[in-house]
Amino acid sequence: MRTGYLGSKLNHDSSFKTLNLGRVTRKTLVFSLSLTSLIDAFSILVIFLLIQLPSFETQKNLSEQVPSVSKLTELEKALRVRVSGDASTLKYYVEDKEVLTSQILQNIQSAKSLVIIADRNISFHLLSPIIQAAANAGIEKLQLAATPHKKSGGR
Amino acid sequence: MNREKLNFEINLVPMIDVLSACICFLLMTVVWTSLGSFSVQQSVGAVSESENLPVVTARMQSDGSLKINYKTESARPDPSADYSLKNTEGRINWAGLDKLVRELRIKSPVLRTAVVLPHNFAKYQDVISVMDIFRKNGISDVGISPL
Repeated sequence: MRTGYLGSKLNHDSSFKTLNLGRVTRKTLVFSLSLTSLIDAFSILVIFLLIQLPSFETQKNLSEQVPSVSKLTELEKALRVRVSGDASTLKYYVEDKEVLTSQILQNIQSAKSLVIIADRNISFHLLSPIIQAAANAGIEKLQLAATPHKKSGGR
Repeated sequence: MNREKLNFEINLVPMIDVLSACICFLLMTVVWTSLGSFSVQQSVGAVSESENLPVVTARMQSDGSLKINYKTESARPDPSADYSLKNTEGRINWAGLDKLVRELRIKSPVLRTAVVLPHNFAKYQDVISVMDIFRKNGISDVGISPL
């Protein structure tokens, strides 16, 4: 093993010369950088970031439009109901599946809590069917997706 | 076969270069915004009146004014007081609402529940902001009423 290091290209790079009282002394440093652990860590980081990429994309799209509040709580795992578009192009999605207004109730009936994701400028009457359906389904806990206030104030 | 000839080295430098470039790109494109939630506790079914705790309702009007009422008149700390809030330039008077809710909390410290009643065309952001002000002033159970 030692022979392998000494015979490698590193051997030439890992030597340096020092001047000692006019005489040139050559010292050879034999070292081995263990790159395996570094590559392991890098690979894990790359894999993690690649897996998280779709989630980051979703967050980017959502954070641009959801309302802001002064104090946030952590978003818990729950059935996601999303409202997209304005009054003319309104669409409701339950877990990314498009549903009609009349179908919201049957799609959320088995849920214990809901996450409502909607644009901050949407009128309340477009959001009301979801809240009504949640009340009819007996869902007590609603989570309204939001971002924290910016420094200048979110309102 | 000569044992020495089996010793070979993979050049790891290009691999580390590629991985570093990948990590740099991914870290730069990551979105660091925190998406959280504003939790709302809705009342479902018949509400028990046994506890007799005060509940306030905040009715949002289309002109930006707000009317705050006690659900039961007996819970009202000051029967003669008017808890309505006028708008400022057609919008909700946020500072006034904050002050009013703070006063309400001082007058009735047991006040823990508020229900927001938005109008048809109330902006979602405004509805959440009203609830946020109640929550900020110590009213922990804030609900929202459908139309």
